[in-house]
Amino acid sequence: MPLVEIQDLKVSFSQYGGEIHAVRGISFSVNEGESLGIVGESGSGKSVSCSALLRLLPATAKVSAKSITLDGVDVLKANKEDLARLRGRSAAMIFQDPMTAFDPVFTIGHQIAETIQSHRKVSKREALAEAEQLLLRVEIKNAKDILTYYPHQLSGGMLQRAMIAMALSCRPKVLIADEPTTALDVTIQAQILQLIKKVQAEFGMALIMITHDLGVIAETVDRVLVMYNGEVMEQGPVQQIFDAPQHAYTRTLLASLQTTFEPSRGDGSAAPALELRGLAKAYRIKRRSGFFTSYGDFHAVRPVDITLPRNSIVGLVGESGSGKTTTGMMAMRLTEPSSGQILVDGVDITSLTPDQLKSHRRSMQIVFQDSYSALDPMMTLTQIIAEPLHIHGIGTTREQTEKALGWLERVGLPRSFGNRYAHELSGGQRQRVAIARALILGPKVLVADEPTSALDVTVKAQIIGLLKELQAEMGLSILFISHDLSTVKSLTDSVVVMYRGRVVEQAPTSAIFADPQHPYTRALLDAIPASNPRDKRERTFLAAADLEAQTPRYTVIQTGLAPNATPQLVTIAPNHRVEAIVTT
Amino acid sequence: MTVELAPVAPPAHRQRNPLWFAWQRFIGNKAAIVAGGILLLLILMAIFAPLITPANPDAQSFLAEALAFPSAQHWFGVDNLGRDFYTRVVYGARVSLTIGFTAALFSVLIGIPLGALAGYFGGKTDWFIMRVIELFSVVPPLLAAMLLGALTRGGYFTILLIAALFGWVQVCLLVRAQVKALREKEFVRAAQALGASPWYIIRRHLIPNSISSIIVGFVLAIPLAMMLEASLSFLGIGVPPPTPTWGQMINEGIDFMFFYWHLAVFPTAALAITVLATTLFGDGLRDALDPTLKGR
Repeated sequence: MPLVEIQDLKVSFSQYGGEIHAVRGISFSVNEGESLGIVGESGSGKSVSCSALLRLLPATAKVSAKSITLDGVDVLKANKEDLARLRGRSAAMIFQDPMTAFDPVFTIGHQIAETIQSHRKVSKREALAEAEQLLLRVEIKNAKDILTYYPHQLSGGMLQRAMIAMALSCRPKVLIADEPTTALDVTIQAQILQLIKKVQAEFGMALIMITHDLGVIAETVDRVLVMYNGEVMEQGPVQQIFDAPQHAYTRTLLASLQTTFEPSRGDGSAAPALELRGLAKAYRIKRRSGFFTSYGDFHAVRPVDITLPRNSIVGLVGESGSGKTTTGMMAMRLTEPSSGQILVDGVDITSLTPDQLKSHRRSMQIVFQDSYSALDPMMTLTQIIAEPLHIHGIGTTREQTEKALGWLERVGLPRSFGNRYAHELSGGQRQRVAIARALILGPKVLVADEPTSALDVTVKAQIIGLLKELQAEMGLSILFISHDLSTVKSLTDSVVVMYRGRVVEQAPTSAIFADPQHPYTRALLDAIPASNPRDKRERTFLAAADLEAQTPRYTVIQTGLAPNATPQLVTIAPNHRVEAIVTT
Repeated sequence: MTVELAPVAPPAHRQRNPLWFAWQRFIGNKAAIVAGGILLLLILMAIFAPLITPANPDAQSFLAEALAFPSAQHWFGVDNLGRDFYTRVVYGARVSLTIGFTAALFSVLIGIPLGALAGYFGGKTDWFIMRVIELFSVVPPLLAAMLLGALTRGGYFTILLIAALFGWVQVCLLVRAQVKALREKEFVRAAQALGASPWYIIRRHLIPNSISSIIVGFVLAIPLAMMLEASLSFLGIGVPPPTPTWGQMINEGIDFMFFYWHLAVFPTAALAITVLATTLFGDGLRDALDPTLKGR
């Protein structure tokens, strides 16, 4: 008898008189020790089905099924005690955002011990000792200290580890991971996935991995369930799904993994579209010790030089906190730089006043990550797209509307959408509107700040395609900020890698992916999830100190620079620069 | 990607802006609907007062029947000076409601720009405006109003001024909080990247998006102003007689309360009902327009 069995599950939500069918009759089962992946885009009903399994849905949801059994218990008929036993002991869940999954006012140790105590009769001390053991199992080194920490003192990756420890505390038979790595950086994602595989094997649990990322599926599971619009499209062994997908939707999903574009015809002769010279940002931080306050500088971005040639796409990659977004914001003069120069089209705009800057703003625009907050909820799409024309006073109201509708079509939305409001659109459609607004003035430079990181795979591929198409049509230069290396690989012409506020390597895309020089670049590239289950591999991860130790070394003869103990950017091939220590 | 996907049934689409959803939440709130109905009735009564009661509120037409109890002829009885009490209560609504609404309007007119400025610019501007607000919050409104009222000998406009002076603080705080949250949104950033001036952003993005706070601030300022007017009139430094106001009538009614109950009860009930209706209506609006505040 399988551990989890769901037959003909239907879930619907009623809202304003209408009914939304989130899940339309799905069936699946999971055996002991098996790992099942559920893949699908947002709104396909994958999380809802698993919440139904643990009866975690809100009261507004209508759930019906022929049978839902978990560990031999009929979930639909279970009473309170049964449910309490099921949640935790039979199945435990890991959530997407570890920051919100922990209670911010209790220590990690308290929260894990509380979970243990609610399921077993043990003393507080024993529970804490066990929590420490669990933290060690999830590869947290200073477990004893971490027990006394509050959630905000830990990084996202550490919190996700603690979350896993908490899920393990009751020895569940099945672990449900709901997009466990979506909120994390690539390098951390690879570590967490490997950890989940490891504990699954150690504890002999079954695993249900819910994700929209096929790479995660390829890395972790044996069997896959492809969901679309509340229905199961296809299921089968992971290798078969990747090699011989039966359903059209699965093929679309897989195709979005392997998109490639023509490299743009960079125009090296003229002045670069955007040039950042020694641009740096330091924040002043106040430290108080007793009666004295001292001020220190936090260097978000150390002096960086980035050149964005005309008609080309430069990728800016790095983990969160590496200063890539700050650099993009400074390039747009939305954040004031502490030092350095910004040249747009050869003109220094660093010290222009807002009035002087206004005319230059027409040639530089930005697209943001979060398409939800990027559009004013009180305005119609036409008003949103026409806003740049309105601000710069171009044309009559009628012409503005006409032009906005034209752009609506150009980004692939029907003209009839013009009177709609932003909340009626999906994430991808919203991002299209944001792109239309950024491009309506015909800028030369576009900063795209993670424009696709909040989108589903298929939609992501479409948005990237749209950006590339418009770039080629308009001769745009794009600074593409992203932590998604597979997108960067297919889209960009050259790549700048940032690490802790410094540029550690910059090179043409092909060179950097073929022959990465800096250890951090190598770590980043190694962490990209496999695009086929055949390619999955054990990874070794480097700590920050190891990265420092492995900084490349070049001699004076190789570089022609004076020896220096602090790392500096060294040109090792045409257009390929890497941070290295120059020795004698 | 040209692969046909399983057709998704397109949901029936009508253009629904965010206020439509607020309206849906509002009509789900029974108390607010009833309160809104009562308020509407009161407003209509005040506007069409001469049509409902042919008697003159100031003329002492029924001196012979002075202090008569309620009857079919005089619904609320007759007061000590021989005036139809029902007429006076109805006309009193005019004073209360106009003072309530006008003061609320002035509160909003002062509160919006100051709140938006403080929220958007932050820093020194915010500091200065917040200190002004603190100044107004530490002084008890009634005490200050009494002082001002005594200095200027009361009167309609003084009361308006005083009510507005103490009503804008709430509106300002509401707008400031809303603007502060909105300022970090990316659509504001996008407008900045387009070269929009701060005034443009405040006018086109921040104020339309704070409209719910503004409506709530407006409606909640009404009962405060009405109470202030009634208190001042009760103390005899409000609107001078013979203009009928509820506060004044309650004051006079107290003298006769143990013998002629109707002189105190009717204006008090009128005031209580109006204030209650406005407050309930305002609460309903707040819940509808800002679902995150619900349950506070």
